[in-house]
Formats: sequence, structure tokens, C-alpha cells
Amino acid sequence: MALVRLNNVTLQYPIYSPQSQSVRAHLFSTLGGRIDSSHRVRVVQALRDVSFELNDGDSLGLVGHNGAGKTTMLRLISGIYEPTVGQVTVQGKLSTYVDITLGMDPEASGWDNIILRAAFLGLTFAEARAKSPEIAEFSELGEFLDMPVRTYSAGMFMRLAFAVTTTVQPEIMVMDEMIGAGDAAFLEKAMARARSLLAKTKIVVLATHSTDIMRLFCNKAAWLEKGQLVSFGPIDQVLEQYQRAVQGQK
Amino acid sequence: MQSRRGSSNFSQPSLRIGMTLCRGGLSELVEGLSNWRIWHLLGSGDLRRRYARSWGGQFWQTLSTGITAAIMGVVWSVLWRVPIAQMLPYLVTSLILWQFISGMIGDSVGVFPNGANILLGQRIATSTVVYSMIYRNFLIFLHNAVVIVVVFALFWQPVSLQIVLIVPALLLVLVTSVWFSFVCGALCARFRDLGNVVQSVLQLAFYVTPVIWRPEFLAEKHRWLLYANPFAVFMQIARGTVFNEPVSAINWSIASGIAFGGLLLALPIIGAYRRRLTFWL
Repeated sequence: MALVRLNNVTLQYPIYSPQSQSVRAHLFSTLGGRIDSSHRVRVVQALRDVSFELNDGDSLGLVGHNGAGKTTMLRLISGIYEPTVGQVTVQGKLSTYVDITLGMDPEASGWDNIILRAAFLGLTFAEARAKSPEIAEFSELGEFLDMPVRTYSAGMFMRLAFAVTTTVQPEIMVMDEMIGAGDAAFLEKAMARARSLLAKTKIVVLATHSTDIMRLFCNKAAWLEKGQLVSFGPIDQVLEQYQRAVQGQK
Repeated sequence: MQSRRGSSNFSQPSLRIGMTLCRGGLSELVEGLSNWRIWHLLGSGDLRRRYARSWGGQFWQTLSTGITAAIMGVVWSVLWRVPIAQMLPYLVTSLILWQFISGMIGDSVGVFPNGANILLGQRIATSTVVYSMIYRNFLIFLHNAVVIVVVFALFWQPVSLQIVLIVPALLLVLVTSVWFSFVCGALCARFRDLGNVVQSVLQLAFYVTPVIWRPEFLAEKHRWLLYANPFAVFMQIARGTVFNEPVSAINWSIASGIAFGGLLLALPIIGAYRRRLTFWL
């Protein structure tokens, strides 16, 4: 059973000015006995007292304006950030797909990049080699796989990244925008694979600006505003509230 | 199951917190080490790219190291009227060891900011990028070591069984490098102007450490400086094993003290900042 639980989580994020990133400024401020306000570290409350729980079958969409705390939330659940106050509990094998090309090297060949990307996904070299033919076939890159990835078009590069990334089945998936790749023909195939991957994933957390995609893949939603959880619940209900609020502002 | 609690919990007695941090530091270093596939691929990436783009790859760099060392060896032996057969092997070994040690310290400055996309892209032990940096420097060192072998063969410099001690000597260098690079890298990530200080210190250290000069050049009453300077200690244990020079037990103990004592002191720091440093990137 997979589980993601946040108990009264507050996350403070220090924002350093160039002044406060300087050892010299720190030394002089203590020696001088006068602390300029610009020396102080500004603390942003990226998340404030957030609590919710996700269980098997929950697929959560995050909505909110830019800077509402969506990316911070993804990083917190992924374990990249630690909470300042409160507790985060994660049970189950988690994968973060904020950047599905993470670990890939433009100078290396397509085949080598399969191994590179697979290592970041937690596969052993033997496992990666065993899966290579299947990945190669799905990517439809053929002889291009022998060439350095820097010679690929952006679309081809994403195809390869997508093909490798989706061979691993996590229990919990954290995504910034829906994963997908390529031109129209490939996109359909990619969507089909993403859908079957998501169907087997126990918990999904997805941040996206497209409410259509969110309705397609999520059954729950969380609306974040200035780091606070405004509303959490069934997707239709939360999205309706959110859209009403957005229209009300206009 | 993974559970993460907020760090601002001051109700526990400080000793317990200290122990928890030590355990955190240790598990950080072990977890990073277990990511060997990732740091192997990252660390060898530079070399792989060099080999991909040119025939001979990294050995071009080795060649340039060899030429620099050879020219310095000739100039020094003429200036100081020392036979070149005596000067060159010493200088080559010294310079290559120095390049290895100072290279790791110099690279530790940017080790976390340079790995930001990895550290912010998925949950990964932050020490992974430290291991990859050390591994890269070690591979470059192995390439450069070819020059040492060639020079020793050319001048028929005898090597005794003591050479096997190069293994513990390099191990001590590597252990020191792990904790020092982590702490120094974290500090430099937080205070961005500290990097310049580190580079200046390295430059100064080059002159006060017996790299291009011999420890014997120092007057007897100043010899203690060789024990007070950690660079000198590590240079002497590593180089001494190659040159069949007697390496004093004091040198070995100081080096072990720095390596393992430093590690012990660094553990709580590593434990405290291993996750927090992602905010500084």
C-alpha cells in the first residue's frame, strides 16, 4: 500500500540577497554592530500549515497561480526539500518526473544515454541493458541511436527520454506537467503508454496549468494560494471553486 | 517507509540531537556511496566526452602535464644545479600529486551549485555529486600517473616494496577529501564569495608546501611547519612511498587523524545540512 501524508507542514524558504551570500558582509556586520536590513535573510513561507493524505488510487492535481507553492509541494513530496515544521510521510517507491531528461548527456550516443538515464531511475546496468532493445524499439530512433544525442532534434531527444523514463513502474509518481513527447504520431503512442503507466501507479501528484489534462488524469485536486491549502477534494468540486475565483478576479 | 519531520524541534536534549545528526551524516555518506552507478557515470562523463571528441582523449591533458613538468624539471635542475635525473622524477611526482589534491579542493567550491539540476530534479543523496567530483579527479590523476611511470623508467629511478604504501596514503587523501569537500562545498554554496578565498588559499599553499622544493631545504628549527601544514603531511606520505623515503610515523598519524578525526567532526555537520543545502542552490 502506498501513502503520502502531510501533517501540518510548513516550509520556509530562505531567499538570500547577494549581501547575505557574502562572508565579508557577515563579518563586517558583526564587527560593526549594525545590521543593515539587506543583510538579513528574507524567509518566504512557501507552504503554510498544509495537511492532507493520499492513498492507493488517489491521483492529485495541483492548481494555483505561479508562485502559489506547486513546485515546492512537488519537491517536498519527492523528498528534495525537508519541511521546516510538521511531518511528511511517504510509503512506496517514488519517482519524480520534473525533468525526464535528467542525467542524459548530449555527447553520448543514444544507446549510452539509455544506460545513463536508467541509472538515474535506479536501474542496474544489467537491467538497463536488458531493457535497451525494447526502449530502442519504442523510441523508433533506429540507427540514430548510434549517434551522439546532440545531433538529435529536440523532439527525438524527448522521445528517447520518454521511452527510457516510462520503462520504470513507480508506486508514487510526482510530475511537473504531464510527461509526453514528440510529434502528433508519436504523441498518441506516448499518451497511451503514459495512461497505462499511470493506471498501474498507486498515487499520482501532478502539477499542470491545463485543467483539461488534469480532468483526464486526476480524481482529486488541491488548490494552493500563497502556500496555503485553500481547498482539497474531488477534482470537479475544487476546479469549479478555483475557476469561479479566477473569474471573480477578472 | 520514509518519514521526514521538521528540523526545528528543540525539545530534545542536545546530546541526542548530536547523535541523530551523526547518524544522519553517516547515512548520507553511505547512501551517496551506494549511488556508485550515478557518480561513476557523472564522474567519468568529462573523460568520456574528451575521448568522444578527440583521438587520445584525456591523454592530451596528460601530455600537457608531462610537458609542463619536464620543462620545470629542466629549468629547476639548471637553476639549482641539481642533476636532472634527481630533479625530474621528484618534481613530476610532486606536481601530479599536488594537482590531484588541490584539484579536488578547488572543485569542491562549486560542487553543489554545479549539481543543482540533479539535486533539485529528484531525491538523491547530496553527497552523490561530491563523490562524482572526487572520482573525476581520481581518474584524471590515474591518467597523469602515466607520466610518473614514464619518467621513472627513463631515469631508472629505483622503486622499493614501500610503493604498496601508496594505497593507504591515497585512501587517507580520499577520505579527507570526502568530508572536506562536502563541508567546504556546502559553505561555498551558502556564501558565494568564499570560493575566491579558497582559491587564494590554494595558491598560497602551493608555495608553503614542499611541492617544488624539498622538505630538507627547510632549516631544522622550521621543520615543525611540515607537520602544521596538512598539505605538507599528505604530500609527504604520498610522495615518500613512491621515493622510498622514510615517512615518519608522525606523518602517518597526523594524516590519519585529519582523515578520520575530521570525518568524525564533519558527520554532524553533514547530517545537519545534507538536505538544507538544497535551499542554497
